[in-house]
Amino acid sequence: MVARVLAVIMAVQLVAAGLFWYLFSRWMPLDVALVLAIVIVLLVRMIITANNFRLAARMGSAPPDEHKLDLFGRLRLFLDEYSSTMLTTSWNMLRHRERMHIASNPRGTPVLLIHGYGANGGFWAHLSGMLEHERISHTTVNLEPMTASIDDYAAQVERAVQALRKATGAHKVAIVGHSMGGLVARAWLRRHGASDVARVITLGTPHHGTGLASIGVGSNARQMQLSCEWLQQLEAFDREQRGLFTSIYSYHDNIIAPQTSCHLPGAKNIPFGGIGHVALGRHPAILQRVVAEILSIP
Amino acid sequence: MTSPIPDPLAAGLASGWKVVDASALDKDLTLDADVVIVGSGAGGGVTAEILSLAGLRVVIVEEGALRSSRDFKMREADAYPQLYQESAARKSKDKAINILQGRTVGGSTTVNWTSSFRTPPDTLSWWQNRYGLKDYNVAALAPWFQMMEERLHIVDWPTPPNANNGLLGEGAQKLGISFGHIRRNVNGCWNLGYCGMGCPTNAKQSMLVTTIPSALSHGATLLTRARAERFALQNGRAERLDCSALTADGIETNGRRITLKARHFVVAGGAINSPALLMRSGAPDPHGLLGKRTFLHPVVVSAATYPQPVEAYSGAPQTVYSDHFLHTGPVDGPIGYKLEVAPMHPLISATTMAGFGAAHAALLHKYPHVQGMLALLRDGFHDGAQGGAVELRSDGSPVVDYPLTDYVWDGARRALLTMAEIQFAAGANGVSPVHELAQTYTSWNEARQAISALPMQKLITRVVSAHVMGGCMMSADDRNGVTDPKGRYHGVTNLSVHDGSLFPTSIGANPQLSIYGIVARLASGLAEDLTGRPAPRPVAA
Repeated sequence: MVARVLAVIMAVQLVAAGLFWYLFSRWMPLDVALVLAIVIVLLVRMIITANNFRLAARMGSAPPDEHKLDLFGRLRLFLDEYSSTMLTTSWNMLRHRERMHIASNPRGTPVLLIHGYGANGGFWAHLSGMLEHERISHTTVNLEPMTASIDDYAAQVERAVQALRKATGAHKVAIVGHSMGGLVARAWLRRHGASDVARVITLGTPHHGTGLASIGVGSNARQMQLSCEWLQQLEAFDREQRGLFTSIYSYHDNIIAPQTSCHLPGAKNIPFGGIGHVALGRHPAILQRVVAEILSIP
Repeated sequence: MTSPIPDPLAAGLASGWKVVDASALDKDLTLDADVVIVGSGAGGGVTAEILSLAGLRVVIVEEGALRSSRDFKMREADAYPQLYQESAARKSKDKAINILQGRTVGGSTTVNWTSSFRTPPDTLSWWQNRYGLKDYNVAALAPWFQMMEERLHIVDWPTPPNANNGLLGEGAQKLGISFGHIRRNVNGCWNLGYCGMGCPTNAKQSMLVTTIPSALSHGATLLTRARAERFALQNGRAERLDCSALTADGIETNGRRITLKARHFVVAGGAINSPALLMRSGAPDPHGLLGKRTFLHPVVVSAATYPQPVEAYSGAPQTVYSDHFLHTGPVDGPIGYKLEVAPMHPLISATTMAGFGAAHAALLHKYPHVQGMLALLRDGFHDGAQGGAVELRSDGSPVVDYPLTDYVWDGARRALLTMAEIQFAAGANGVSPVHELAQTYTSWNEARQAISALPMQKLITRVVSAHVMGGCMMSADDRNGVTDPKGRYHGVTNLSVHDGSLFPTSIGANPQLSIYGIVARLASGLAEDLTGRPAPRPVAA
């Protein structure tokens, strides 16, 4: 479904570029018109990303002094996030096929990767390649439908967890959830218990909601509104299990605001600076940290 | 109902074997391994056990399903679609030859008739002289045959032959034709006679109950209902193997892809599917030999009726043979043939026997009194029997184009004559050569005249085959074969072939033990090459 929505968005962009090309070609050579048309579409996408940063900054929490960015740092943050977004939505998620990878001589605990809101398993293209290289068995899940209640994804997660356990022969799996995916993992834990999971690692997960959820649609978006009742119940429920959790996040997240919403009391919290929300799935420092966390599971 | 017969497969699955049924996949699957083996039959099974014992991580890819004694109900109508390639109706390109090949975990070893012969010495000396396979001599192979005979409990069959086999021996004896008794890979056989439908008692020491369970217990992964589509070959190496997951009925693909990566790949899909996989992959073939020289041991059949019941459907299917007509001339003289009998189960008998309507019904009316004798023709040693060629259909599936030459037909006629003579000598009151224009003859004199005059042509002379060999033939000289004497594929450094497709001629005997022994040696060599340690010796549990 997500791939289809993204395909429609891609088609709209191509049609828009085509129209601009047609219009501009009246006044300039064809090749120049084409370049200009593409630049305009890319600029629109850039403005959307920039607007996310603007909103997140307005509602955000101030980063601690040691993570304050200079102009160059902010530029790099922005370009990194923009390129990650373009790559993820226009390529990785579009061409994603769900898969399970079983390493023959595996290291560590097998991993289930749960994507976030409005995404699919293609979000994990970079981490998946790294896990394969590190001989870590893993699989992804595609959460459907796009706008369901977060609780409703628990059944899908349970199926994926059991399939992974069966295929690898492992007793326990690790879960890595990006953004909403971390909340999906917690909702699954609430329903199915912790007996099959060794560690839950969340990346940029709004454990206490995000101000930007109000522009999303669906039950799941409502459940991510700042300190809503659903989040408070979840918070009360798994307070005793926080030893299972690692929360990795960025002080410069452009979707989760305030960024400290990712801080999960009682969990191992690992904040970074200078990384955007989608870039969390691609930034080498984050990926290396995730792999280290998985390999440190006893 | 629980069966009193223990099912080692069920027990193994419960103990946590890694078995993935690809038809149940809900997403793509990627696996990496030390060695990926395509096929779980005689070649794949032996290789999987030896490499797993050597500590290598093995993935076995099998197109068929995992079925075991729980599923084997001695019913032809279930067994043929479930356990055989193309529902036991695989045909040569011109439909003149019906080819029986297994398609299940254990491959043809799960459904064969247990006949076990070492590779005949005259076949081996031909290989040494013509193809430079110097290590393929009786003495060098003897320890490997002995090892696999011990592993698979291949011993003399102590029980008297059933009447179907006994009549071959009686007739031969009366005519002064030499014959012998067949060794079998069974342990605790109930003498039921339904080997071709999968052994319901797990007595048959097929790959299904021996090497495959052993490999799985040593950490191998078995992927079932997964079809090997093609290798990705780059810079003289196989980088990965792309497979398709099949639907539960094994007919269509279900849309899921399986990608396998390994240090080394072993192709053991049998002599039709192995060359076909390599052809689809565009494997190097500078001399145009891949898929060529495919041998079938073309078989002709003679049915006879006796006054007494024969009950050819009951009892161990093959226990008596005669190699007399393999030795009456040189191997490259007029084509020789091996005599055996065929178990007569109703479905396969009715569809194999000639005629239709009243004549066909009349023969089946005497069904319990019918004896079925067969002659398998030794192809590959003469210009008139250079074998067939594997071709790919437009969808990539393989088909064998096998020319039946005058040289082969000459042998077919002599074999039909011999079988009729033996059958009359054993007391038959009627002999019906399986030929559309043949009648039931009531005396040897009548049969001799009629068979001598029968036109030997495809589609009217019934020809069947259960032994497919060649197509990836070995040779010391890479101009004469696509594989070397170690089974390594020329031009692809990490690719081996370990099945009957290696043979540069037919064997001249039921080939299972030839594959077991030769592949045991190849797999042990491969294990040593990959681990740097001496290969372990598999022993029976």
